Amino acid sequence: MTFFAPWIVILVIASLVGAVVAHLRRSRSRFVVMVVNSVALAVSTLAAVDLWQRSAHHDPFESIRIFVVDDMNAPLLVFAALVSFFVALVAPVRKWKPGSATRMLVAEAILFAGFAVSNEVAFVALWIASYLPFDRELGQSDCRSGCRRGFRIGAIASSGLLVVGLLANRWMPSADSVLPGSIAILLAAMIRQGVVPFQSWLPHLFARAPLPSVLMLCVPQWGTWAALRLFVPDAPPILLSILGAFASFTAVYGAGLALVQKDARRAFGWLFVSETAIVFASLSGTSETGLAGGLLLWLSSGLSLAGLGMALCALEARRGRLSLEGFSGGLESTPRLAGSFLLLGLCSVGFPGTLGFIGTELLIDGSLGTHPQLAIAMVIATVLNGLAVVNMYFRLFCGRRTIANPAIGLRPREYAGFVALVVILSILGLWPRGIVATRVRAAKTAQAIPPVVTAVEPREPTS
Amino acid sequence: MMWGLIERLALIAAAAPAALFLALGVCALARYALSEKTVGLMTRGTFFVTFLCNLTVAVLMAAQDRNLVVISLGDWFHLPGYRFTVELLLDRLSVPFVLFSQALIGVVGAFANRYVHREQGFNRFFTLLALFATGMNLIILAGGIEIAFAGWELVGLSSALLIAFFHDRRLAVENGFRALVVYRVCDAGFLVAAVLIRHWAGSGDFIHLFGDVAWPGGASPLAGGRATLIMVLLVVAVMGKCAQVPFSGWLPRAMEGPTPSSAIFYGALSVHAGVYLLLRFAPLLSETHVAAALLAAVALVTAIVATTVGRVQTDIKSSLAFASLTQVSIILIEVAAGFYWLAIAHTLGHMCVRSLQFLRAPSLLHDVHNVENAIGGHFAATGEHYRRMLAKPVQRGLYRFALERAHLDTALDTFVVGPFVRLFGTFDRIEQRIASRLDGTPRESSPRDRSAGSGR
Repeated sequence: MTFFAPWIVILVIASLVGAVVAHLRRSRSRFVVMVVNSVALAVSTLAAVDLWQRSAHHDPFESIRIFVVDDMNAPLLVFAALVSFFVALVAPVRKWKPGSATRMLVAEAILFAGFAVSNEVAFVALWIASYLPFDRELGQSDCRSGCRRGFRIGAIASSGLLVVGLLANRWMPSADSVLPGSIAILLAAMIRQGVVPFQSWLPHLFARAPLPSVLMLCVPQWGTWAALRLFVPDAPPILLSILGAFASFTAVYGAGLALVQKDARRAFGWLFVSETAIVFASLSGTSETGLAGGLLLWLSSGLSLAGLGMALCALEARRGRLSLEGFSGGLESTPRLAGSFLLLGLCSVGFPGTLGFIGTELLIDGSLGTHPQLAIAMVIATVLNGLAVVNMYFRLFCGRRTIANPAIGLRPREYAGFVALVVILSILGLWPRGIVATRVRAAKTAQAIPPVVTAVEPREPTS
Repeated sequence: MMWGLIERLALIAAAAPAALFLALGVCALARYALSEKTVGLMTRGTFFVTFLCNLTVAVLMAAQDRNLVVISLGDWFHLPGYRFTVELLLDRLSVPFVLFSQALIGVVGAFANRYVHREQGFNRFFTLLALFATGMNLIILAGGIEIAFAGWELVGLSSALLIAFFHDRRLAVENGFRALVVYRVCDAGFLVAAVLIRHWAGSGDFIHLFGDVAWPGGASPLAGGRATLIMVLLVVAVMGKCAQVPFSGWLPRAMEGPTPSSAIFYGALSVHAGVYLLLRFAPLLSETHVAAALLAAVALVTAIVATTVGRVQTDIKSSLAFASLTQVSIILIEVAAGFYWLAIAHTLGHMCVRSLQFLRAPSLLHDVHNVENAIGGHFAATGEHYRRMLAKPVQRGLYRFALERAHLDTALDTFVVGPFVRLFGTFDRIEQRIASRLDGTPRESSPRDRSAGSGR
């Protein structure tokens, strides 16, 4: 079910107006961002509720629709708004550069539009545009941002491949064009998601770039969204199997690397690569149950990884760069930050009682019949990721006697953000029926999307 | 849904520890500092109510001659072809276990109220104890394998965090992490078994699996290779939780935690959770001889290793840990051999005795010194007859073997952990090199390298 509603237009316009205001009133940039994010959160929630309450197809603006809200993207819009709200709430404002707030709001507008736009050309344009605020942010960051070249290579390669894929699908009216077009789109998505063999740039970005900006760029998972919208409906089974194989390997590879890192940011980067690869792998032609599990993990691991990343950011703001080589101690000084870190980490790896547990269970069960290797990889990755999270917790907060310094504890604003995320993930984990139902509907919608090439008449063989 | 008295009381007993955990957790999150007295009262009150409810349930079920009570709490969630129901199972296996386990947790909670008095993590200890009690309740009362798995994970996490309770000690933290590594690796077996059962049998509910008959009766729809695979995976999970060879090394390390938690985890409940799991799967285990033989072999080796190693321990908690391990291994052999009722009696008895020994351990040495002063000499040495049975070289070899704790940790470090770290360390260096090439920057050094380089 899809419908046009003013919700998305409101979301995009609000973000853009907020960006202009933030640009004009730099002194109160966080206030402006928080106001816009509150509006975005409320509007996206209304859009999702509105969709949920409609029992029948109703689209009075069929002919003019640019944006659509459907079962697949409605919860994703709320998710994107929530992530943006949380990141803006917790990010240490003294590290914001001139124009950071403006760029953050522009990035949000692009994200909302990207999740809701129905036109493929517009989607590709938004995909390319989504890189620009981040690239500008990197340009203003300190010396640690020696990752701009790698980022640009990844951005240009993925954007170029996406354009090639779209052109191949559109202007080569042949059934044969499915393969090159799909391959190009798959490669673009793999690069953006950091799937092996294109993984190296992403953890490097996490290690060196400003963490709030990286989270805003990566947590929504543009690559997975592009694959779901543009690749999965057309993809031949062989390509879906390739996607599954590479993503499964990435999940295990990333988890193993997260466990042996000596730098907290890199460990988090690899954890992110592994977790998002699990979601990406769920697109590989698993059953409806498996896909629903993957879509559920998209939300749960995204939210919890955003929280975990910001907890790392908050700790870094207090201690400087974080090493995992020894034990840092300091639990006495930051008990609530330590608790938030552990709880969000456990949420991200699907600990029982959290939303991720249900997603993992559904994904493994749903892929067992069709892709047993995927199920095995999921189990191994889940085990290793759990160990990586607890290892980080122990090394960052325990193992050493330190003098308690309450002055570096969490501020109420930060603490409220962490607690809210933990409560949301726990409540959704304990009462998951509603969110599971939306993901099942999304999985059904995703599997029912007509392939782009079905509209193209196969070319007559020439004699 | 109409519930009788048994169902209502069982639900109160099952929910009480979870409510305690929630209350303590919410207070911690809300920055509301509860006094030690309040926490102690809440804990004692909760487990007293739990004990009374469980006792009444046991008496009522015996009086009414009811061998099986299923409490269905409805669907947790469902989707086409997949239904996750939440059921609690009260039968001849779960009722005695839940009665004893919650009573012992209550006793240990009362003891710990004084033991961790004025410790910095007083509230944290009781929060984790309540989490552990919730996990044990889920394992024991679960009507399906997924709920049991959830409880299994909660027990594992609370165990690791309590080993690292004294978080400013490096050794405690390292040992807590080591225990967690073993748990997580072995729990993978449990997770895969749970998913396979649902996949092949269509449901993970025990009633669906073994039929609506009193334990240990019932027949499973799974047979042959599938049943064997599932039971082998469950045996792997049990090997982790019950510290069987080659995973025994974490158990003595777990003694770094506070004594009350050692008593309840490694003397009483956590270390016996695997026994309970296998007893729950008795109808399937009895049909899979390969898994039973594997279990018996592993447990036999563990029993021999544990009793040998335990004899050279120089601290009382490690000695008790190996004694506990020996008994758990014997119980597992009883399970593998099909002596289920004997295993239950042995487990319940061992849980009580070993908890008492652990709780007594801190004051025992003081008392022994007093008694020896009173009698004017040392107690007579025991075990001399073993020494006479063995030749000197054998004695020396065994002593070395026991002193090194059967080289189990060394073997795991050498053949599993080391290669893993080296392999992924190599991958990491390659990754950093690629990233540096992409950026045209030198390879990033670790924070410690830089601080060393700057002369700090």
